[in-house]
Amino acid sequence: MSPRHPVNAPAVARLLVRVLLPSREAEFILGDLDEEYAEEVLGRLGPGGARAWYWTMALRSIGERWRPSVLVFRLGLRRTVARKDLWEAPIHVRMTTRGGTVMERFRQDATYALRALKRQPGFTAVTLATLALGIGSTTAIFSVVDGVLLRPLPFDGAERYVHLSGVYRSESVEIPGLGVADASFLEYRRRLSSFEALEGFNERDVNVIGDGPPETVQGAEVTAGLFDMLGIRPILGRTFREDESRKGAGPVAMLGHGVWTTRFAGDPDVLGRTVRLDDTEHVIVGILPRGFHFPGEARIWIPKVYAPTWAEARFGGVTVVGKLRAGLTMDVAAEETLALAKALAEEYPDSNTGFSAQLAEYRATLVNDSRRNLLLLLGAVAVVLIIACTNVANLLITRALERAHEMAVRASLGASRLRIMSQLITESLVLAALGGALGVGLATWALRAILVMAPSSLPRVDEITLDARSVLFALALSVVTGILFGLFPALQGSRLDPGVSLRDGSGRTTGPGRSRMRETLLVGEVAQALVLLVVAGLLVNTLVRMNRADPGFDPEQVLSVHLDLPRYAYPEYADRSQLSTRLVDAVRAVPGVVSVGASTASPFRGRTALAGMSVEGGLPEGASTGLNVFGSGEVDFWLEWSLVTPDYFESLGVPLLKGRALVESDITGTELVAVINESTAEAIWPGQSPIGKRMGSAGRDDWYNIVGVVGDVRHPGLPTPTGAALYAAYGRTALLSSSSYNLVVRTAGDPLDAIEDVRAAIWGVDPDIPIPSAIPMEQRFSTALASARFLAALLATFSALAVLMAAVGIYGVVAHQVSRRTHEMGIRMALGARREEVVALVFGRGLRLVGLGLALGLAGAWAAVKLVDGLLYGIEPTDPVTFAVVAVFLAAVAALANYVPARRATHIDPIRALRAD
Amino acid sequence: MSKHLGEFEQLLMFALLELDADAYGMTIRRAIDERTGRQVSPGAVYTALERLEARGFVTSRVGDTAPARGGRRRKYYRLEPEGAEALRRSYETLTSMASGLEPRMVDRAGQASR
Repeated sequence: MSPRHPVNAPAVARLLVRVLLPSREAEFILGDLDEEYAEEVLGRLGPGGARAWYWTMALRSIGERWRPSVLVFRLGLRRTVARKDLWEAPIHVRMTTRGGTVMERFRQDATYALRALKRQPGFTAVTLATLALGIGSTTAIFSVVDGVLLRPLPFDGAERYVHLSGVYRSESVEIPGLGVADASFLEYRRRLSSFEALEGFNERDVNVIGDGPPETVQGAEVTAGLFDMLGIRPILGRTFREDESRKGAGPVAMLGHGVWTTRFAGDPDVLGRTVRLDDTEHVIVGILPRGFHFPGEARIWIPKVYAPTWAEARFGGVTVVGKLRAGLTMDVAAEETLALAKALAEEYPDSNTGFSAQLAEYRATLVNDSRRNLLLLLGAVAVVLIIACTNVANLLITRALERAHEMAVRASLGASRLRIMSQLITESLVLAALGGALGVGLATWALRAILVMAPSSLPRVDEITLDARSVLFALALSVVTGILFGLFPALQGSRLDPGVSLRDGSGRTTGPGRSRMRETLLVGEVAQALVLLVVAGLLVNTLVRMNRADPGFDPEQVLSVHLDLPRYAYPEYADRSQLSTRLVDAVRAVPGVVSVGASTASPFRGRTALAGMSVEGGLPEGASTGLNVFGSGEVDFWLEWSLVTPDYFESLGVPLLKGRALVESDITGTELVAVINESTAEAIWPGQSPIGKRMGSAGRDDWYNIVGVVGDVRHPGLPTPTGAALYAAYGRTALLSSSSYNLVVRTAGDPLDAIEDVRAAIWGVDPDIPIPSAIPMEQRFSTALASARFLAALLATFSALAVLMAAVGIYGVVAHQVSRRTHEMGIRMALGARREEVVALVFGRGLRLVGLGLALGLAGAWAAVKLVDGLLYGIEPTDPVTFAVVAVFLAAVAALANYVPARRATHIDPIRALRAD
Repeated sequence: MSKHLGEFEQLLMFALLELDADAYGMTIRRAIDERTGRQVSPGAVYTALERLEARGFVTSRVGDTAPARGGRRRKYYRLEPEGAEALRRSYETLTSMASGLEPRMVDRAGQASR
């Protein structure tokens, strides 16, 4: 029987039925639901309505099974215990029924627990809500962490993949994470025995031309064996052959499922046809399955062509992924790899001196920076969960105290301590199971919200689902929490001396030990909430500061267009320069466009060129040049070069501080001129005007005359300081990496309205120019902040939950104290104590506990903020304002939660309180 | 065991009469829905039928499957003569108790809605 489902009924609902009902019963119920869903309900109610219907039916079916009377019927208890009066019999008769197997007693306990919970709907609702929130948020975040960090890569034998990267070491510098030169890679592959396979790739964007608008698609050059190593088979055709990696082999390509369906309409006869990538027609040899994107988000693959001469083997090269032989550890492989790297450096000193290699688990490479954010979130939900459990433990202890009389009766009728304990633990387990089920429901909603918010930089996002693993996790969480928080009350409840409790009548006298435990829990709760609040406060602050930070330009009413000037069509710099002029003119002619500038690097699209510079006549006195990484004699300092057209600064809204901006005549003029940014001016010529000074690339004789100073442009969202920058005229100066080309278009109205016309203008110049993106600059801002926003929003939500729960916890403890001490207060008031004094008595005790919690929390937060230091922007981790505001806020909430029940003490009527005996 | 039948049990047994050989969880549920507008869950249907089976009023067998069920089998139910007899008695009890009282019942119900 196949477990495949022909319909897309809610998977979680189905899973719940499977988990919570016996398998035979689940089979019939799910069969019925699926059948009706597919044949009738879907058509009648539509997808949304049908999902709701499915959920309702599934949950009601589960609820049906767990109704006490049904449980009793199923367990056949009607036969062993007196029939009809089971539920009407006094508790002690029910609970002291002897005999039966362990399972039977557990069932008895569970049935009884359900009934007891039903009797106290208020208590049950609060407890279940608390548990559902705790378990739900933990499960949702676990699903994310599981999908991104924990689950193996979706490839065959995923745990055996390692990333082999190059390391360059000289006396002054160590550069890890390099690619491996082609020649070295081939040697590694030939001589290393630790790997079952060693393959490589280079990520490379390709321009797809023809069969639709030109498009830049993420692609990759891959070695022939990569797909075999990953265990991926094409759905059509074949993978690459080894001989296709030789120079001069006929160009071939494999397409991803998406490209195949959009560009070739899923044509099954596509093999043998050609696709034009950049300027070359490639023969299509294979189609890869849907959902396969590797490396990165690649959608088109071409063979990696080796440059196997050692002379070409310097920096760069190929990204190498290997698959370890089964049973081999990474340490063994690393030892062999290092030895070979050393040997290669000796054999080929010209090319390989200083180069070595290192291995890392490939998954770790893939998830990079997201790891810390996700672990932080996991830590935050763990705190929420602990607070939730603390609250539930407190609620259960309170309840156990209130039921002291009942327990005493049972103990005196012969129930053993173990029996009472097991009853109490069963109750918490039942609570936890119900809370867990609710939590799973909550987690599906939360997860959906999280995925909507998730920044696009989160890797493997399509692998995140609430699946069986997550549900099992929630289940395990429920059981563990059930036992943990059930243990305290169980120990306490079973320790009661029946004599005392019975004599006392009301069960109201409780020893100091009991309230001390609850008070300890309360202090811990406040402390944890504070830690979470401080961390969330810092990150929210960071987000606000990032939003408010002055980027140094005016992003409003600006359209940002990223282009790639195809080098195959415009090989010479002069060609590209001419093209640039035509593009700028064409876009300027679009109605509604105020001004247009172009640049090799603009905000949110890096690719600036770092260059070593020297100042004519040497560095002036007092110049501070920062760190000189590669330190060679002629370099005075490093800065970033970009090439801009004359209207660039005006279009982007960058203020001109001194001198003049670049003008048309600078392109053709004999003199080389440049504009520098404020940071450069202040670092090199502090207190002087740089206008008229000259600087140039170290070791070359072309000096640039500085004609102007503009404001610093920052890349928002990146907590990196502004570097030194120099702008030279596009068309005059050549840069190696100048195929990156960006238009900044200032519009009179909404830039969104201009997008289509601007695209048309560009394609009017050359219809084969790909436009990777054309969106308003402000939109790029919000994308850049997405990651920070995601983290801040989630942490703020979790800390709000934590505060809410802590408040509920404080309220509960204080309220119980008031009701417990009614008698005592009655006496006090009868003896002349004023109401305010009585309130102060309760309130003061609560406040002392809160104060202790706050103090511990501040200390904890002081230690915890070190973990988030790197995530902050514009704020110190120990920011006193954040600490103070958060502490005051929590203190206020806690005081309120304390005061409300304390005030109730004033309503005590001394006469009635005393008469109650 | 009590000979008394609950209202829901009666609905189920009438549904079995109507459906005859085609009576399994989904069709039973839908028969009740169509005739009374009452939305009951599959869980409730099976629970009640289980009780009726324990009392010997109905019998069940596990049968075929269908593509839409994802390979899961159906559980068919049949109304036994003892069940039909109990249903008849229940129905008679209700009708004889109700006979002649309908106008008054309608009248009183009308007062509630006023």
